[in-house]
Parts: sequence; structure tokens; C-alpha cells
Amino acid sequence: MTTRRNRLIDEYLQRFDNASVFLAADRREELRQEILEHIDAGLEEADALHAAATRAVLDRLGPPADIVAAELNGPRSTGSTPVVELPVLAADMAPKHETNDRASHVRQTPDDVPALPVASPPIRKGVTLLLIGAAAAFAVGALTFGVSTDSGDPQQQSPAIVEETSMSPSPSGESDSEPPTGAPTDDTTPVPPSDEPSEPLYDPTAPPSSGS
Amino acid sequence: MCRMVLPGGAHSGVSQLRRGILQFCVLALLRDGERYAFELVRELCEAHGLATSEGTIYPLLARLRKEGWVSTVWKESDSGPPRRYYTLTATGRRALAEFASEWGSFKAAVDTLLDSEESHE
Repeated sequence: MTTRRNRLIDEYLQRFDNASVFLAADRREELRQEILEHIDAGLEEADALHAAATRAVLDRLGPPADIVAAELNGPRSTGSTPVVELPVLAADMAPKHETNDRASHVRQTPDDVPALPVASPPIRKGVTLLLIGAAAAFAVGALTFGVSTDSGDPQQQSPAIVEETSMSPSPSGESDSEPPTGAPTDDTTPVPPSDEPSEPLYDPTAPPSSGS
Repeated sequence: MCRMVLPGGAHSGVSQLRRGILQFCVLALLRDGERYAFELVRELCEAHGLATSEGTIYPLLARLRKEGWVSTVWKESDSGPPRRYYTLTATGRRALAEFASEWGSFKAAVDTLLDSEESHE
């Protein structure tokens, strides 16, 4: 019974952790502590440790997403509303992933993620994919252009080819397979976070590389 | 119990109003002395139906702390871990008094308008 009660609380806190990744770390921790105190007090007041009492306390507490939304939507005039700082987020999320992974199966509730944070991960992923796609197109285009200029006028190389030659010492870089893929990748990788390696980038360029 | 359901567009207007007023209700509850955080939250939510859920009070309490209108103190508990108590500060008391004087005329004006609307129907 106690195990089930603890699981309910753990799941609730996990939902809070998932919903609050975009809060400032100190404020997130403080709010979490207050919620925990509230749960303890609620159980103490109910004088019961069974799962039903726990569920009642958690129901009254409300969805974690609502709590986080109240944190984000409150009056700004007090200056205490945590600012959503995008540069900090990537760093904040990294250590939290470890704790989130433990009970990631709990995350089936879509209402746990507040309006603002929910948009960001897909956007980040979308931007990453977009950049990867652009880099792949760039690499393929550079290869094609390099072949055509190679047969014509070797002196008039495009800036893309110049970049490639800076990576590979030989002017016939497109036949060396690796440099053409490496150059565009390096141009784009500083923008997205490192959680999505640029593996797809190699797919479009791999055939010419392996073929030659 | 805790949730208020209102029809259509009235809901957002009332929830905004409630959000603005809730902080002064916290101050009012603290006017007569310190309160245990859990009791404060429960009373706000249960007795007055002012909040949508208990958890949403905690961000508000944090803002009031930051504003300097309330302060917290830890006290030992006989039956468990130390408890966080909230107290009204002098600044908070002034803010409450200001709001109370404004609220009187505000409420009277709204009541007058609502009453006149009713008399037209």
C-alpha cells in the first residue's frame, strides 16, 4: 500500500519535473519542495497513508502543468516571475534528463506540459532537421557544382569549393569522399545542441563517397 | 469544491479578476497572525473558492515573498518535519489597507452597475 502511495507521489513529482523544465533551476527546486511539503501535510492531515488519500491530496493540488502555468502567467510587476531563458534551458535540461529517464513511462499525460514549454522541443528538433537538410543540400550542390566546374574552368571555383579545399588540401576534393561531407557539417553544427548528431547528413553524401 | 465553472466568456474575465485579487486575499488571511502554508493554501482554495487548485497558490506566495509583502519562518512540528509559516510584513499590511480602501469603492461601483442592469431586465 505504501509502495503504491509512494508511486503516486513519485509519478506526480515526475510530472511536475517534466512540466517545469523551463523554470529557473532555483525556482523550480523551491516550488518542488513546497509541493512536497504540501503533500506531506495533506497526508498528515488525512491521517491516512493509503493510496486513496494520496490521490485525493494530489487531486486537490491540481495538475502540475497548472502550477507551472501559474508560475509563468503571474503578474510580472513583482519581478519574481522566473524568466524563461532559452540559453540556460539546454544546460538546465541536461542534468534533469537523468531523473526524467527513470520514470519516462509516466509521461503519458499530455496536460503536464505547459503551453510555452511544449512548443520548444519540437521547434528545436525542427530547426535541427532543417539545418541538417540545408547542409545536405549544400553538400550535394557543392559536389555537383564542383564536378561541373572541374570539367570546365578550374580557376573559377565557387566559395563553396574554396571552403572544401580549405578542409582538404587536394583540389580534386570531391573524389576524396570525406571532405565534401565534412565541410558543410562543420558549418552548421554550432547552432543545434549536440543531442542530435549529424548522422542524417552523411546519408545523401555517402553514395558518392563510397562509390568513388 | 475548488473549481469554479462559469459559462463562456465570463470565465476568463472572472479568472483574471480572481487572479488579481487573490494576492490580497492571502494578505487578508494573514492579517490576524501567521499561518502554516498548507492551511493558508487550503483555506484560500476551500473556503473561498478563489483558486483553481491548491498547487497554483504556491507561485503566488513566492511572488508575495519576493515583493516583501509576506515573509516565511520555519517552525518545528510535533508530528513531522519543520513547517513553513507565513507572516504579513509591514509593507504587506500597507498594501492590504490600500487595496481594502480601493476595493470598497470598486465593489460599490460594480454593484451599482449590476443592480441597474438587473432593474432594466
